[in-house]
Amino acid sequence: MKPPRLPRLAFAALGAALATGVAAGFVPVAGTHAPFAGPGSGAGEVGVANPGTLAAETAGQDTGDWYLDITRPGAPVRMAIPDFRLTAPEASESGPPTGETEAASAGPLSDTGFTLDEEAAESASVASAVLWSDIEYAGVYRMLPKRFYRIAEAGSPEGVLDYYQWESIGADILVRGTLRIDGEFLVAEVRMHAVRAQENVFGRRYTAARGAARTLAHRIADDILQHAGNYQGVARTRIAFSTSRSGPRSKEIYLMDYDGYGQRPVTANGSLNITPSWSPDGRALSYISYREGAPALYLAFLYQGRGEKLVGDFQSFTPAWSPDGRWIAFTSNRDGQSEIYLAAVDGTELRRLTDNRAIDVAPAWSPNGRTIAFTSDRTGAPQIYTMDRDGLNLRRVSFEGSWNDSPTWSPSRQHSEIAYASRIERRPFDIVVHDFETRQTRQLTTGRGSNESPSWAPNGLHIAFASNRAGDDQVFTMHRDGSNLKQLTREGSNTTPRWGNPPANPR
Amino acid sequence: MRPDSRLLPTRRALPAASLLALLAGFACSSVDRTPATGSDPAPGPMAPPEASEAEGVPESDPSPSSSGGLTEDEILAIPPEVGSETDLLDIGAKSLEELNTEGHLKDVQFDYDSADLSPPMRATLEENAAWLSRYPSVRILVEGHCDERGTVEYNLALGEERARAVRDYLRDLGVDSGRMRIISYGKEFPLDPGHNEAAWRRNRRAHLEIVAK
Repeated sequence: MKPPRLPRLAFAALGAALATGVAAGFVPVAGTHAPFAGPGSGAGEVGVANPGTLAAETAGQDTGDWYLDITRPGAPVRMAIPDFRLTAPEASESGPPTGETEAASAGPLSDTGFTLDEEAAESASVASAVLWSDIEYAGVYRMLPKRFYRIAEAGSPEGVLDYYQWESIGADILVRGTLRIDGEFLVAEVRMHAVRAQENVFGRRYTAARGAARTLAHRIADDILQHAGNYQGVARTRIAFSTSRSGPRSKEIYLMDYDGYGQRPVTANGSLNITPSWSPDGRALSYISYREGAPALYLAFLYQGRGEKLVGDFQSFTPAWSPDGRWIAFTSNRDGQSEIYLAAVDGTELRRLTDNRAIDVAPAWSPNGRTIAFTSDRTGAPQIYTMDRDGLNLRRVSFEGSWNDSPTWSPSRQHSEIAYASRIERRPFDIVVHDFETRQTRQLTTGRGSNESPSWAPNGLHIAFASNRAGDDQVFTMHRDGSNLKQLTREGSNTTPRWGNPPANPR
Repeated sequence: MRPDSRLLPTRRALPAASLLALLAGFACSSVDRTPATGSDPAPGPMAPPEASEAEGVPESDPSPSSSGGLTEDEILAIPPEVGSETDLLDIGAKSLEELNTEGHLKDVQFDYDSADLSPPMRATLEENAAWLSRYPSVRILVEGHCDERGTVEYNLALGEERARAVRDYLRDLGVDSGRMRIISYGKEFPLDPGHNEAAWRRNRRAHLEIVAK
């Protein structure tokens, strides 16, 4: 497999990251990732280019829930996604070499000994598997098993689409794609068809760096979900967490793709680094590090390879980046006991929000940034409260349980709810969700190990959390109803997952 | 994980501590290495202790004569209760690691979700305060720890509260607050990796780490 080739834009970012990341004491994302990036390891979120839709085939792509017309009411929508088909490389505009000739001449470039055909096949295999699992993860479509596809395909000549064949196996939606290697790029063309309507409702060409098949597939998956049902996918999101895997008496901040793939370090200082929190643009993390002794609040700008200490001097804990990106809420003992403060991200302002003798900790922002949920033991035991972002209008949220902590506010527009870890009597913790509209609290995990530190996915439909149900603490994700449990980490002890937005493009 | 020692102000020894040292050194043993003189008994981190010099023996002298005829190995072999609690230690001769391993300062345990100091724990802290007053050059880091049953986030604040409770009580007992810093490790560094009541009891603690001598 060739090492990933990044487009020019990516090289600029990567170069900057490599140039400054080591000196800054933490590891730039792209920099550590690239060396072992196979066809899949997402050689950078900048790798996906989208040179434009296939103009002739985009009709109907913005019609939202078109599929309702073609589906039996109440029945799940069934989706068929055959594997990507390999196509021959097109002749490049700039030069004569086709795929075959490049493969023949590319011996020295191919570190892993794969031929171009093998690399293309591997990329198609990875992209097919990733696209499938991304769509399945959303939980809104019934995936038609691939073994049925041969029946549909057998009835029609290669490359020709016979809607009746696909209808006969029960497909409502058919997603078909082709893949090829074109110079330094993977090029995919994807079309989505409404089978009963016999309509091509979506078509788009994607270009990504070679070796970035996973990133490519994640991008396609989010587009498919968006255009098939106006569903906000999470395929390009990442989860940050704190891990003990790098050595004794230390913890480092790591991040991974939402599916657990590509676990890579953000910090590498051998100290204790805990409780990460994403910037809303998915390009930076705030976290607590003990690297200079006392726990201080740091920022890590992942794509610049730059880090800085925002608040030191006193002990700081549990940072939370505001939805507008301008503030960090956190806990500090600078005035004697644990209180919640705001600091501007540029370090210019410091505001205190709570003032009492009790513990106030673990702030979490509402999606509109006007309200902050937090944990306080002012009544004698840790419970969840909310307050306005100026510290006024205090309200208690949790009334059941002897210990409630780690609130996380759903970013969903449909659901106004907070998830947190709750202990009933002296049992281990379970993840519960409090719905502000119904004032009901529902329990998502049920007594298997201790389940802590929930964090909503950006679409408000999934929750990441840490659980010791399998021994050490590990990061899991589940649907917001508690179903579809997946374990993402296995090495060392892994805690405090924080689910972030896909990285925004640099301005 | 060590705090920045530059943040800890350098202090000279106090005469009052010398009196305490005299009292503490009353019951002499065969390994009495500390002269009961009124001279400054507390070595700064940089300077050799004057107490040793007063006896005409350089502190760094490895010869047996510096320790009452015992070799260094023999001294280390003596159980701490024989030599350490009744006589002034030559703390300048020991590394911080040795001092901490020898357990001169006792951990303090807490109840579940509590930073209150129980009477036995207050007694422990009084012993710790007495030891600290004997060695006024010693500076400590008070670490607050929690057991694994609490949540990560709240435990960070709870550990901080425990460390603060210990610091404040030691201060009330006369230990200068400038000699103490506090830090919370929440439940990140359990002393006992077990998952049972005994382990949890050990892990709900404040640990007093000597960081300068």
